[in-house]
Amino acid sequence: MCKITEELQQIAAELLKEGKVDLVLGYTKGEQEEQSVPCIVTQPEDASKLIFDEYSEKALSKYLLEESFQDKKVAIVLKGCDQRAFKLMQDESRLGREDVYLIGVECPGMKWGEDLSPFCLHCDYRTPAKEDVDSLLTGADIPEAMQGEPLDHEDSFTDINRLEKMSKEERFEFWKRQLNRCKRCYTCRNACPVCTCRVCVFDRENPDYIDRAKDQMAQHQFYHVIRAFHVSDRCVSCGECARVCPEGIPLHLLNQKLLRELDKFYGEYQAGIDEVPTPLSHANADEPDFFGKEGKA
Amino acid sequence: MKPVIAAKSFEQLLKALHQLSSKYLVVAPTTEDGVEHYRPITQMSEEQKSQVERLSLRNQPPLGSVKPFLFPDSEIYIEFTKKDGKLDVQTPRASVPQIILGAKPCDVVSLELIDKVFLEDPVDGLYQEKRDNTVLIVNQCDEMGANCRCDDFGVQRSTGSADLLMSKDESSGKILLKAQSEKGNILAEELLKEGMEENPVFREPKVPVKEALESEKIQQAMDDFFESPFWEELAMRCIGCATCTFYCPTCHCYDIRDFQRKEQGARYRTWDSCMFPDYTRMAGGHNPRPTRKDRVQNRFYHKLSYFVKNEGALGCVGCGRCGEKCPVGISMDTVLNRIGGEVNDK
Repeated sequence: MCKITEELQQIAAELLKEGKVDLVLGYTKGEQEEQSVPCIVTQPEDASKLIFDEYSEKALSKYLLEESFQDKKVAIVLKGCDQRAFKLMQDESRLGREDVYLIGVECPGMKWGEDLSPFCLHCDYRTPAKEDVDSLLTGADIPEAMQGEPLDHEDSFTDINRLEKMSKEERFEFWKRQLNRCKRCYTCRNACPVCTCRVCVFDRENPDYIDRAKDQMAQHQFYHVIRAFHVSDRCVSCGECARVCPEGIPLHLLNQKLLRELDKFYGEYQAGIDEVPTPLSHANADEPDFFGKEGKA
Repeated sequence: MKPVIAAKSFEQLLKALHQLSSKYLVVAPTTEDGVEHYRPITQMSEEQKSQVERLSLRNQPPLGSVKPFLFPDSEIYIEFTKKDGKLDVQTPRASVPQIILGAKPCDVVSLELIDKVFLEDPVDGLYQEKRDNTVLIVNQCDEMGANCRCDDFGVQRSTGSADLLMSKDESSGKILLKAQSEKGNILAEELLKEGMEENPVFREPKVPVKEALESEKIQQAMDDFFESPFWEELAMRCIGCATCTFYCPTCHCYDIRDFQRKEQGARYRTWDSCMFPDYTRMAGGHNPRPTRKDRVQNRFYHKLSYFVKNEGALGCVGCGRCGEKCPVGISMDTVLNRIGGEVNDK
């Protein structure tokens, strides 16, 4: 058993025994090979179910906003990216820091098929800061590719580079093919830890701006583009959207492209690490007016 | 004796089917950006065509089932345009004959389960039209895939409504087809004209037949399990997306919507999911399944209890797609392993 798993089980058992929390939200071994799934433990003797490994991909912070987690004292296992999402929720007054016991874990980088997730390869926030969590568990077995300096944006956004080199027509064809497979199952939205609106625009009854069709003629491009814009400056680069998409649509490319553009326009900003406000949630008086006459060019 | 015909190779079979593509829409499993789906062979790239044999003869169904070709994700009932103050209403053209190559026994049985709903009175005309117009060429698996549970559901050799059975003779590389319906006979005749030959024997599949779960027992065990705290735990893990239902070959719920732009629009039906909060929300705002627990329960109880009571069969074919694609690893086994009875011994 790895050191983090061992310590995690110990802490979870103690928290539950002492009645400090009602439940511990972490990961356990899934039914499939090489799969770890979210796990809720309420009894100290069940703490031995908890594990943490390179398959513990799911962002858990999103669960904290679910109705069934309200009015419960929760301890939650957070990787770096997940803790960034938690901090955003906290900064946006969605939940209080004191309501949750945070168990930060050093992330060894998550698997992406055989390889490491491209998100993890350019992540420079694998481990939450000590002062941001209640317990910090380190000592993960870090694969070689994750050691040393993370890739910078230019290097790690290779797919974006490839897309940017395409002609407009090629790029349109690329996205048309990809998005035509979308079935609007909303897995990307529901898994995204920063897609946290109380009522999602796409859940409104009979909206007249988008249809509900699921075939090739549907307006999936609107759904994905609207969603990408909604989370643009709040994306914590966890890669959940692309991981969970049953159709293998590289949705993260939309987010990465927007992050890159935002970096160019507003300077580097990392959601959930840097202080709020996020780039798009405030405006300065001297900013160029893109919507006015001058900006139209 | 039932007629058996043979193609010298899979390539020859594909070529013969290509020849028929003016008459039939021919679809077969391939990959698109690495994702497995049935696609029309006339729209496939050479690379995609090269995937067809492997996926057609593989012991595991592709991610996308054959369902969308009989019950499309979206389907238009009527189209309307307003011109000079008058409303012009049109119904779209009738469906074309189609051949589905490389369907799996689990998908065939799933269509038979949907038949129980859509072909009973009142008959669903859109579905029936396509069902009557579809020729299924079915490959029986030789063994179970990693996520397959077809043996539990007794469907691993089922070929009831298959029109043609397909098998590869490994020694000669021949692809053998055995017709077992009128539509199958007609297609076999047509394929003979396209260069396939009669063959004396058909190769039977090797998959072992195991005793299936007893539907009444499962239904009883599920009913006894209704009040278990397990459902609350499962609902806390579920993230409420529709992956399980949209990739399920037996799910068949739909919603009817209008889409309108100024002077024109369409009324269409489109897949709906019982995992969505608005699935049962009524006009007055009341929702009989207000919590995720209600919705998660409904999905499993519909498949493992209500369908047995209403239609006399389990509503799952054990294809494993839901479990494979669930972002939080919930599968049919997650429930089957927890309910009472002999299933626990698995």
